[in-house]
Amino acid sequence: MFPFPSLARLHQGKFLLNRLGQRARHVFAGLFAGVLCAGQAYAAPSISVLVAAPTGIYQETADSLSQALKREGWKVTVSVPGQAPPNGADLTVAIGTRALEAALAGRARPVLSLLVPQLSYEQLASGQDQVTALYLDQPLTRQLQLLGLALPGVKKVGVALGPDSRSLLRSLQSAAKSSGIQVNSALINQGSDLYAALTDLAQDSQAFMLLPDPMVAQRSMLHNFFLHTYRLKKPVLAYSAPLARSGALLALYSTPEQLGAESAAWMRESWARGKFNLGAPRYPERFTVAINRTVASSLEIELPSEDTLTRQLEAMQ
Amino acid sequence: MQPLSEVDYFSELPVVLSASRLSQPINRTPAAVTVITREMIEATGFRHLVDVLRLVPGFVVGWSGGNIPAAAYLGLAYAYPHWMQIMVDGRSVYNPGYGHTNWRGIPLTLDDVDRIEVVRGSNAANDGLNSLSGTVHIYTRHAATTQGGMGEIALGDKQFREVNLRVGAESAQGNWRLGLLGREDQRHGVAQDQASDVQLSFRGDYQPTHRDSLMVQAGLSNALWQGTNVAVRLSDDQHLRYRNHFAQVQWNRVLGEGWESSLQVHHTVHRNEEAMSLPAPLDPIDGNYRTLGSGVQLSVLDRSASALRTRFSGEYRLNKVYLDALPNGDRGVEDHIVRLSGALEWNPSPTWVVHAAAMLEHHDNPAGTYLSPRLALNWLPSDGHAFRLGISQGLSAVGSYASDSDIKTTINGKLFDQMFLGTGKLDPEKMTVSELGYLYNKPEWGLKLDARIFHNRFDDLAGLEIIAVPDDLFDGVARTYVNNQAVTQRGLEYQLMARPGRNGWLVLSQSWVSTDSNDAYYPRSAPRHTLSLLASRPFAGVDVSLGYYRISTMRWLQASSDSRYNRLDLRLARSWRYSGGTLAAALVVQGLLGEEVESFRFYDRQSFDRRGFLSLKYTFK
Repeated sequence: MFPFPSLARLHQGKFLLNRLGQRARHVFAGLFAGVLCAGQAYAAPSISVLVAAPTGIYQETADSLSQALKREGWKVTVSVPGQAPPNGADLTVAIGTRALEAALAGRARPVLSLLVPQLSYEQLASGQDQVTALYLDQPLTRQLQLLGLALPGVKKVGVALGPDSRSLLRSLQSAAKSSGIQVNSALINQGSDLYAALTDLAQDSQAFMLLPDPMVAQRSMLHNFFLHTYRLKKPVLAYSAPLARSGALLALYSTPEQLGAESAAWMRESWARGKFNLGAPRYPERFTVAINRTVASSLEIELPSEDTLTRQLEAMQ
Repeated sequence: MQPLSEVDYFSELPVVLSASRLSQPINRTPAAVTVITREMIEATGFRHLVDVLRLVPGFVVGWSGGNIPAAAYLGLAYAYPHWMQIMVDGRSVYNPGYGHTNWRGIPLTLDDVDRIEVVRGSNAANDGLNSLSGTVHIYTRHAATTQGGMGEIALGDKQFREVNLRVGAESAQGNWRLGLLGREDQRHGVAQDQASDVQLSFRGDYQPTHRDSLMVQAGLSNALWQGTNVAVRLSDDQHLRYRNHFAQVQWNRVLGEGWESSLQVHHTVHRNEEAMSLPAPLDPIDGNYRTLGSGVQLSVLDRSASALRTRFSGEYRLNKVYLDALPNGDRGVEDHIVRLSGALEWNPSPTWVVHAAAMLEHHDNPAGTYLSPRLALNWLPSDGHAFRLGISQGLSAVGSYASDSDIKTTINGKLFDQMFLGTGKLDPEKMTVSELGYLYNKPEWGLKLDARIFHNRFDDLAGLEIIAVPDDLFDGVARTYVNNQAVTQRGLEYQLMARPGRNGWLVLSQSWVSTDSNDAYYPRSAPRHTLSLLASRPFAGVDVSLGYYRISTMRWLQASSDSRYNRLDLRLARSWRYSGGTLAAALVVQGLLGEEVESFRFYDRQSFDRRGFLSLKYTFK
């Protein structure tokens, strides 16, 4: 017992202080532990970007993606197939077909494929666990919607499909329903059938849609394709900017920059509790419209500007 | 097949539909243009290029001696018409010696032709002298569209036989094809019409870069024809060997969207070997001649801006004619030609188009500097309707033969008969065209109408005159050409194209023209009415085509009797898939009703009777 109550109070005070200190230590320790725990759950993830080549479209995509992610403090490491990828990456982003092949051959998962066409992706990675893609292609419905906006008189569109893209038939019919534009398709087994197929399709179609079919859209067939569709006086909607310069009236596509930025946004949304939940492959939401005005003028077609069409098409998505 | 990779999406591709390959919409062109498509050519069943021109409003086609065709717009022509410029892929096939086109001798099969565009009315502002009454632009098929092989045999009556072979393939940076044609026929079924041709043609299309394309063409034609190719016929068995060969390289560079340059170099040789038999004691003469034409042309086409579109072109060309009947003809008579031309298309608003074009050219023969201008205004007041008001001036050189030649028979070197004596002073003939055109286009009905009324004024036309030649022992006179005639034509013409159903289509053309002149021969040489109707439709897998061609009675200049046609042709065609390729059979019957009577200076009242032929064609990849 303390003879002097003040001392006793003092002692009590020290005790209290000690208690408080202990509690504070516990609280700080707890807080620190909490911060540590939170740090483990929300720390910036490490992204391993595998580019098919450190140049051109691959680098543009990687740059766009890296810039967006680095602003968030994410760690992004870029390598090419053959180089050792960083250990412990939370996600491998494969840019280009060759990069996807290399990523699939490795063990690192999950994998996000960029810049790879849907048909190639499905052939390489369809059904694989923890592998997904932001396709290079545009959704068929959007393509038909663009035709409807640009060429309101077009109610029927012709599509030639080779053996490898027949799987798109069902999607085409469903896109036709949702867009209100009828799709007439012709199946060809060899390149030499293309001329007759286009001629037949032209009888009941006001425009053509060129899909990335390896038989129809191969480089050596393009002269035939554009010369013949032009002779038939039918406009063509295609899937890339070079095709619009070559002879298509319209093209709908996503640029490497758009794909890089969009994939970065997708990653940010999907990062939760220390892991990525990317889900199923998807089509890009950002896109670009290109018009070949020389072809438009020769076919006597008046078109709104690219910006107007892009805005209208965005509003429909 | 390997699916496409991202490289296929992003790598640059050759510009297939470049500005020069795209035709302008007809409602915005500065002149009346008739387009003959491949589909139409096939439906006619014609085997000769020149016959296809029967589909063009106002055109008349005839065959002098059965194997030397003549095609003229609105008449006013003799067996060697020289008012129409003929271009094959931008290369003139005009014969500078005789001032006409040896249609039959062009190394070009109908199977090679992609489309024909015929500009009606003077096109000298674009194509210079000799496109006085228009230009026929023939475009051959790109080599990428004729890959694989093709073999065709056609047999019919009147000694008609034709074999056509073609092979095409893809090479490292492009495509090529090689074609061979062998043909023999008698147009009127008589021996003096006998003609045979062998032709070889090559076309290669290469894309060294995505912006550059290179077209290389070469061809040769070797023909044996009965009759005369020099307008002097001295015996029934007169015949000639005609050879034509050419080489052409065209380099196109895309400078930007709708903006490109084109550099073309070409060389063409015509050679005519024509024996003429004269009874003793006359010294032998011949109709041999040779012409060389070489040229280089640079053009820049800019359609990148919608408001103002331009085309500028510079050309140097050397024509050389070796003709014994010409002074210094054994050493070659040269015509150095320098041309500068430009065309502007100004679109101040969506409903108005203003065209201005001019060609300035300098020639050594006929010596001088000549200007051919054109102005046109298009008004497109509403969807489907368009009006065109145009005025143009053109000039025509009549050719060295008519202007300078000295054709005579001699005995021991001494003059016996001076048949023709050129004055050497012929000026170019002039033409001024004023026109009002109306075009209607209704794509949803498959309907197109192209009509125009026109007024053509020709001045300084070369007409034959008799001159006294005192030393002439035979008749004391000779013929010569002088610029002494004028002609005025007023007319209406139209072409209607309709595609009413899914498969059937028809093309109907008519023209009516009234001709006045100080020379009575000119009005008679222009058919007052021409009509052509071509219709095609499949029935139970068989393509059925009917062609009807009619001209009212006319008389070719220098002919002693009339020509006319009223002719119905039928073509039945069917194709099958066979052994990986396509087998196509066609039966053509020509002259089902009526008749076709042709009369030229040396060939009076030749009749084209009903005949038929069968063709079998196999195409494979």
